[in-house]
Amino acid sequence: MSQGITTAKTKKARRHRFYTSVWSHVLVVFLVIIWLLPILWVITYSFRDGTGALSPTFFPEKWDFSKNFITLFTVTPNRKYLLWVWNTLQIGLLNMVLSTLFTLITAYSLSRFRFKSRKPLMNISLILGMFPGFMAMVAVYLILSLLGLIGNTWALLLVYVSGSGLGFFVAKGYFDSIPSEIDEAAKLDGASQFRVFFQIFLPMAKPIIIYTALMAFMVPWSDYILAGLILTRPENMTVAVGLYKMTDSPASELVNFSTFATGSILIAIPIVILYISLQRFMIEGMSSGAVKG
Amino acid sequence: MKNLFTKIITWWQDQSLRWNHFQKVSGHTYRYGDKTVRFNLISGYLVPFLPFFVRKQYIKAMTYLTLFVAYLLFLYFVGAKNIEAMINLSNYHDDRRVPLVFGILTLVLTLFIVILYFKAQKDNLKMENDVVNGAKPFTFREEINALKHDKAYVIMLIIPIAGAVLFTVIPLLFMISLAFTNFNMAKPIGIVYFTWTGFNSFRLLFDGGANFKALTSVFSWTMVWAILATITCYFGGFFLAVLLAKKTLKWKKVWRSLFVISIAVPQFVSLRVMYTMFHEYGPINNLLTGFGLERFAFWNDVNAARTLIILINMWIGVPYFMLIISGLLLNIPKDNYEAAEMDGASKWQSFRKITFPYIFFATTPLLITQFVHNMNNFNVIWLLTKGGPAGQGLGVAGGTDIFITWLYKLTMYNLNISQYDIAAAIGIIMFLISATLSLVIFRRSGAYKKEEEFQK
Repeated sequence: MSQGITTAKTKKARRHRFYTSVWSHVLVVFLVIIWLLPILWVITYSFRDGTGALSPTFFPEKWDFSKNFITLFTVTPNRKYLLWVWNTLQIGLLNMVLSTLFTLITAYSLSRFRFKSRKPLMNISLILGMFPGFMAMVAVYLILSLLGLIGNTWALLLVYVSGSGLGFFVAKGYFDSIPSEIDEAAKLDGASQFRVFFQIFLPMAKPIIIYTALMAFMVPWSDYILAGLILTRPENMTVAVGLYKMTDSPASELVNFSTFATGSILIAIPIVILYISLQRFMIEGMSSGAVKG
Repeated sequence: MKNLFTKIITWWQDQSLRWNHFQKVSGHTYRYGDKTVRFNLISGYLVPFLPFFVRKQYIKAMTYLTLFVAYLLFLYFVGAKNIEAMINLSNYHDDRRVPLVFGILTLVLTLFIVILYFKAQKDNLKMENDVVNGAKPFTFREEINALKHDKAYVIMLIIPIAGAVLFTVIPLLFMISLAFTNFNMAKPIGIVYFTWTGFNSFRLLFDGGANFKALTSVFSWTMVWAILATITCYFGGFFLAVLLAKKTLKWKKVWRSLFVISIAVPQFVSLRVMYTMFHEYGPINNLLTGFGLERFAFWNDVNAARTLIILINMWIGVPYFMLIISGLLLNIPKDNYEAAEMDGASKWQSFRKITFPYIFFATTPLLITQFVHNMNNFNVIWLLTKGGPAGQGLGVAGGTDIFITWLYKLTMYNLNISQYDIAAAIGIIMFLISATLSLVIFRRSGAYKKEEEFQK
């Protein structure tokens, strides 16, 4: 009798678990569909046949698997898509190396040294961060034009790298949590601070290096405002500026959309793969910035 | 406020104590020092780098020499002229932004040189005091060693600080100073005739006309937007994280990776796509007409546009919070749940009593930073509506404009009609708002106090 009750109970529990399992799978799949629908939609639009405004149906009315790609690469002469990608890749890689170096070395100095101007420096960077970013941009534009650097790809890199030192907060939060015994020991052995930083400290901070590098690499792929101000000629635009300008005006926002979709998909796919494969480091970086504030 | 006053007073007392100490030490050193010490102490006031040459500290001497000489040359050839032109802006007959930029540069350099001068005096005194007390001043080799070890931060920070000064500090000071001019490209003032006007641009903003109407409307929407955007994404992300952490759910990693896509795709792509999807002739409207409904221009209606902005922002923000909260969920000790289950607590109860308080406590700083971030979230607004639809009587500001997009419209959107005076005043107001918020909330939160403790 009592055995019968328990089996009934476990049966009930099992059934309950089965239902919650089904229910949660259904919900997750539903949410994933919502999240992926825009992506799916824009992918189909890169295979859309026909120019001009949008199709009258949800998905494209006619399909062609090569037309938009041909348009993107060859037909329109002033759209130098491949050149844009190459420019962005160059700036991205250089910015990744230089900005990461300066961000991390600033974070290291502020985390491991104790000097008088340390607190004031940190407070000043906090205060600078509270000004809206665009406020400085007007004057950056002016300074660059006084230096004759408007239209120069390297000017953009210069601005990115110059600002990198101020982004030390996340990395410093991470560095603070690394116990100082190891680098102290190395210092006592007579290693210079530079050797300690590069050979002992950095290998312990791999997640934050990857996070900082990824963020720095991504800057030119998503910046269309500052880059759009500085890079004015089609030959030296980055892919973000070029694509943004394609659909910027009310006149062109629908006409160029298929080409825009094609160009966007082509850069988005490698970026998404990069993000997904580096997910672990991103979470670590994001939460070390989040918990520290 | 009271706290601030006590802080200022203690700071002041500190400074006077330091000054007394400085006097005492220099008096002592002068009295007991030999000829060279006395010479160094006195010549140091006039020629700050000379004592270091006398003591053969060549690195220090050369650094001070180069910096002081470079500053004097700069002042002679560029600085003085521009400072003068900056003060008498109305007498300058050319692009007036130039003397403004160079004048500010000169002021920043002057501040730097003054600090350097005092530092040189202190270094000098310490060196002479060491000599009097029988210690040897550093040799060249020891100087290099110090730069490699205890003073390595000097070398490490040179480039980051120089970069920040050149492309962040000076541009910001320039823009702040524009708030006190009438630099406005929309009026026939241009770059040649603008001049100092005191607080006039603030008066223009607050005088009760179209600008003030725009200011209040933009302010209230910025606040509503920042609050709603933060809350929706936070709880959405929380929900998603809990859902993805369910024991019965299979292929967790796959689902999570799929949600990461919306963070990874550059926003100018994903938001542009969203804009097009909700366009009057876009696919969503095609669906609506397919169901026999009327076409609806979502982006031309203020309320529809605002709602859509918040919903679409969830598409980007929810996965972001989901990732962070997923990581935190793993940190909650399992024993807590087991104990709760033993006590017969339901799933919902253990969520309310264990999961939620834990996560909420850990993420409070994040909520604050996200709030400030959303106040300045340019991309979502700009790529979806460009701040539109046009608001009635709001001047350049539109129905969905937040401060940052308004600022952009006033300055860089069309360089020929930029209203820099108003924009700079708005920028200063934005700074005051986010600075007050951060100060009030951060100072009270435990994380800040803990950090302070940790730092010491």
